[in-house]
Amino acid sequence: MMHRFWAILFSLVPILGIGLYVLAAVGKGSFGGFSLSGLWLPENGNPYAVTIDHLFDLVHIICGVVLGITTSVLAYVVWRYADHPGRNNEAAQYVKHNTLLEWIWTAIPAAILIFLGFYQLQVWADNKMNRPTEMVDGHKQAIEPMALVVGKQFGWEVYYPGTDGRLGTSDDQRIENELTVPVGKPVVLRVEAQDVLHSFSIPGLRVKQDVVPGMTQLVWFQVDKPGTYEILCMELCGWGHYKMRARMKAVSTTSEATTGTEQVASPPSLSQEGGEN
Amino acid sequence: MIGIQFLISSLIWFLIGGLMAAAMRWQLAWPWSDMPILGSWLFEGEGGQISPEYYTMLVTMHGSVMVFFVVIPILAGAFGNYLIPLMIGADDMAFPKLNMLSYWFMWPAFVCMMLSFAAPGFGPAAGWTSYPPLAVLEEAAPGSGLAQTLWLGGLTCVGISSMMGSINYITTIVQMRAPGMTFFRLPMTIWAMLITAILQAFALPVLTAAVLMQIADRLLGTCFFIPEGLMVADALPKSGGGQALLWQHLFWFYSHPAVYIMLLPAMGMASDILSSMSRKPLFGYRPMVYSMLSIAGLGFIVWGHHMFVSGMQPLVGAAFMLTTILIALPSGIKTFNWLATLWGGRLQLTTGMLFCLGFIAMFVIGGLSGVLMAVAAVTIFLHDTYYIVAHFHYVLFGGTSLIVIGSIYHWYPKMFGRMMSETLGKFHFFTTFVLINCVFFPMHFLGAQGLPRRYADFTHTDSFVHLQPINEFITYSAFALVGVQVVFILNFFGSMLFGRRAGNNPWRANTLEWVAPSPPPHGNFLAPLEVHRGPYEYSVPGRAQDYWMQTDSELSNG
Amino acid sequence: MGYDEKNCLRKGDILLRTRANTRSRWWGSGGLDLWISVKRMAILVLLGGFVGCTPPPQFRENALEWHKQARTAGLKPGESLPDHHRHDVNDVVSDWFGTPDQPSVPLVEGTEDPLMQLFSPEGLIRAAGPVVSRDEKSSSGLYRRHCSHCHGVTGDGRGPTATFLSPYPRDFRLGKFKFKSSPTGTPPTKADLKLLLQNGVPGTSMPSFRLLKDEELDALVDYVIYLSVRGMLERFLIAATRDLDEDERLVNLPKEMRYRDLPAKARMEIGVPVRSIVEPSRSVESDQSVTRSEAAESPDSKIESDEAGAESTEPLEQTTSTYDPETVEEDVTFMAEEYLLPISEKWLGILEFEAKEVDVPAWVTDRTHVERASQLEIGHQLYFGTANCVQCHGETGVGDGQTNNFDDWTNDWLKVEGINPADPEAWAEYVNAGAHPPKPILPRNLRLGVYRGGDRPIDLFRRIQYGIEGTPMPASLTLTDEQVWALVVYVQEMPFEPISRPATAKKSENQRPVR
Repeated sequence: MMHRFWAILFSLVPILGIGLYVLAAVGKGSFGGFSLSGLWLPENGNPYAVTIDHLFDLVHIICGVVLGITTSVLAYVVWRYADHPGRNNEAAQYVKHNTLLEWIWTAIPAAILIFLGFYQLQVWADNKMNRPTEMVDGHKQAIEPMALVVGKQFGWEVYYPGTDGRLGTSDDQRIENELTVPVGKPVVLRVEAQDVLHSFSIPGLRVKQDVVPGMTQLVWFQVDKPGTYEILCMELCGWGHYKMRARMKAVSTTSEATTGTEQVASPPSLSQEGGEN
Repeated sequence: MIGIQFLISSLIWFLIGGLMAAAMRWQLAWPWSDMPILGSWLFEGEGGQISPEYYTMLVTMHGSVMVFFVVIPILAGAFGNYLIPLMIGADDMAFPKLNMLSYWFMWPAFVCMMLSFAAPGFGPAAGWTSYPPLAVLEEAAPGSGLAQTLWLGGLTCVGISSMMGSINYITTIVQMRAPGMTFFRLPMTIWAMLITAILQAFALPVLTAAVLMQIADRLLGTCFFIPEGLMVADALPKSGGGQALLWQHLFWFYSHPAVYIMLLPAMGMASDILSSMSRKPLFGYRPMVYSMLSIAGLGFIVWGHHMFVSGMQPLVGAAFMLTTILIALPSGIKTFNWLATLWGGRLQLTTGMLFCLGFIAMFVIGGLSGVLMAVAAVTIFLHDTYYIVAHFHYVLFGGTSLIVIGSIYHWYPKMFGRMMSETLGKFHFFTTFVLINCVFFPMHFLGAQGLPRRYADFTHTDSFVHLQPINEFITYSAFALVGVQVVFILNFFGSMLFGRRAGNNPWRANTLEWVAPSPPPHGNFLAPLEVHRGPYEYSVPGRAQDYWMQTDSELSNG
Repeated sequence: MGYDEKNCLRKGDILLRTRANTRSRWWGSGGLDLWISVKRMAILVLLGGFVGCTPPPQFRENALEWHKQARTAGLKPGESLPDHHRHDVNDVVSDWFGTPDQPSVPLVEGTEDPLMQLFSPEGLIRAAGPVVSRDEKSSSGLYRRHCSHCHGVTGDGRGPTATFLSPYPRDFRLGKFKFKSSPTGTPPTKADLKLLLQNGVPGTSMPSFRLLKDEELDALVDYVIYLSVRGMLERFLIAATRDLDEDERLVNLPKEMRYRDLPAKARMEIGVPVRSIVEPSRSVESDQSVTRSEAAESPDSKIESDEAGAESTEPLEQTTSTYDPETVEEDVTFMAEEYLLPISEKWLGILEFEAKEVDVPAWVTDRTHVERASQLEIGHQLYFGTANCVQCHGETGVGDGQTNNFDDWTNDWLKVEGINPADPEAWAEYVNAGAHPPKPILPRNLRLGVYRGGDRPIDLFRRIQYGIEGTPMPASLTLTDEQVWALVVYVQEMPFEPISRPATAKKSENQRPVR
């Protein structure tokens, strides 16, 4: 009866595999002492990336169905067709191919995959290609970066434009490992690297962009809730890779949206830190 | 034989790579605690606490060793070498000396890698992908000095070895088939090896060129991959003018096909074992071949999916996304065909077969998580998280390595003339299968939290500290996983001495290698062969025997 | 290696216990006890049976200083100062300052010793010890989690990563710190050190630790001062042994008898009282207590030296009667007053230090200010004239003026025998003794806009005004504040002059204009 044992073992793949996923996704239950809450995507604060989460769930559902079908079939086949001492003399079927079946299991996955491919193009474009715009004098205009974030071994330097409102001048203000952005409006950042590859990533906002020395890139997002987010480096950058973290503070602007940028953009007043020096 | 030499040396490296993984897991579960053995060897003054660059070295070398010294040589080098002549009915490879050279070119690579452990920094530490500028500039990372140069040298030797091997395989398969062995009578293993060899022959030159460019950047002062204006530690400024992304394009142009180099032979061998062990013809032989061909073709135009967020033009990323998502299709077709092969069969649950069934289950998981990653928008979140780690370990460990082990069980009687212990084998399968899932399945959840790869320590972050119990669980499972391989080692060597003697055809399989004596003598076959039919004529109605060897004449009825 | 298994297991227990704490927060309750016992067994098997474990780290003795002093004393290569001097220094320093796992503080002036103002016990507990957990209650090992792989367990700038870094990590034992608001020759304020931890040192491998909690930063600052004081004392004592007569010792004990062999009680009475800083939770866990005697007797408290294992087994009672308590008391008090007090006074002095108020002129912060252009011109002339910045930083400011200088950490031993830094054989023995191969200190390239001491106007001002301690950058004693500010403006503008800017970086692919 060993084959029953193996069949049960294989049936655990769909049962546990999908079961754990479902439990993790709904964030309930515990398994062998492990709590399964807090194992799905972290809370998303970025409206541009809401669809990323939807896609994540959608693809998981589709994949879960496929996983369930295929591995259940596998377990069933072992249960039903395994040879064992008690089995009747029935020989294996002599079947070599079935064109219709082949067409079916080519066409259906192809349709699903192509659907997925095109379905997500818009999200991709929203997050990587179409910079947010604002209305300036009645014209649609791409939002200019509010700060420059430079990755280096091992930290993030944040440069804010100084009083002249432009980056790359001598009154830029630099602060190490702390970025402050306004809540509720699109934020565009210029990201660069000073030495080696890094990756500017905020898991809580689904933002990730490798920063390549010699290139400038833009990332954009919007934070809907005030709070603190972690900026991580996600591309191996040397021995201190794991140390390369920064904090992003999302603060709500004053009720007048006009002065918001200035107020927020300047780092928390420099004189506060360590007083005179 | 060369194949067996490849097999043994790869298995030794498998062990080394596995132990490195265990060391990594120790650090991840109990960061900066006293690490056994390594800690007291190298870091006694620190109380056995390893240094962060040592962890990065472990990550790098675990990847490099597993990919370049284990999976690729064991599939192409060991099984390719061993099975190709036997399965096509040839007495040897087309170029025996080239064949030997291809093995002995692995040794400089082995020596280079071993030496790099002794170089400053204890080894290269820029990831197995060796992204510049980190890998190119000596000042950028502790391992980017001599160790990195040795690593590149080793990689070049592996490349030369693989190149010689693949030319040999192509020639042998095209030229040396036994009479009657038409292309569509080739077993799937041989198709897979042929396609793999073609992939290697076309992709490797690019990698070799890229590696030589990186060596030139390091030693000759060229700046292929170094942009201007870098500020790395106190290093003198470089003239620059290069582009760091160029390396990624070149590297992945090889390394993505390499993913299929690491998978296709396993798929081929799985097809053969599944068909013979379910006593049933392989379902959809031609679709299987075509899907393999399309994987190979598409495999060349999907490398960009490793670089979705690398700073590459996003429009190109979108194009790569479409090709990538299509490559899931042929893999799916293969899986469905395997299941259809099993359906209605008479499954012989030998150890080899169990490993194949396990492979299907793991490959489905790994393949489906691949679909998720093919969706570029989701990759924005998942890139370089543990989700990726889970994915490629499911494909490469849960997939390829299970087949490799299964194939060893399956072809061991042919290699050494004795059977391996089925009891130990089944115990080995059960524990390995369960533990692989214990190790790698939870990593999906770590990845869903955005846990980054290659972090030496994430307990000091606020977002991830709650994942630590899972990390500990994974670590215990990983230790157990490495531990149960002892059973396999015992079985492997013990069976050489004490195994039951195997006849020529212990599995009652059809393909030509089972005609030869076990182990095959020099020249492989005792008599000239003639092939009369395809490799999968199992349970043909009206025959007394449920198998019909390819060499049997039409009249023989068992 | 003179290390017993009992400790090993105890360490395992600590690990277990703190993990159990973390676990209770995150794990459910079902099947828990079984799981814990499985874990406990597995850990014990791995720690105890697998290979044993590594002894806890010890403070490394300052071999470089010993070597240097031996050469200063005119000894030939291969010869070293007598071993009993080394024993005396090691014994006294480890008696006073404990071990990396169990730090202690000498109370020179009784229990209310000013030294305790320098580092709070809570801070030392958090920072010292092995890395255990982030758990609030038992958090410890901050220094070994974040710092020691570069700065070394001893704070000697010789952790495993150190050799690969450029510039080398700071060696705290000289008591010199570069970037501070206090004048040359004084230690930095705690605020300076904390600010440095928060900002890192741009242009070096020292990252910013801004994300650590405030109390964690304070703890690290305390521990750095602790290591620095300890290292300075060790260096002073080593230097002192050089001048001793043939039969004289720092602690005049009978020959073959070591200070640490004295019973703890005796040391308590005749020596300097020591306050042990043992983590409270650890003392609850095991039979350790915070009293000095037991801590001193545990094998951890012995400094690492080649014959530590062999000699520690000597029976103590037989020798106790042969020494003269009064001489010892005199010697120890002398050491405390002569060597430790000056160090602690120097550091304590800085606790009350208030940096001089400086008004930042409007034209420094405001780029559009009318006066800025004229001040820029003044700065320009100072750079080439009175201030003579040009000598080192070069005519174009890229730091190519004088490039063959060394910093004090290198000069400290390089100058002893006038070693030629270009000759590896000349300094080989110093490197063997623990020195880093000498690297010239390069004047800052002022065109990059990367300033190690910080880039706020006040940071630049301080660097010009006070110089950078330990480097050839001098304090500008003759310049007025106004002139210094003019230089600050000039330095600020330099990276933004056209010749500083390479061709503008290529436009990113996703920076295309919006339709």
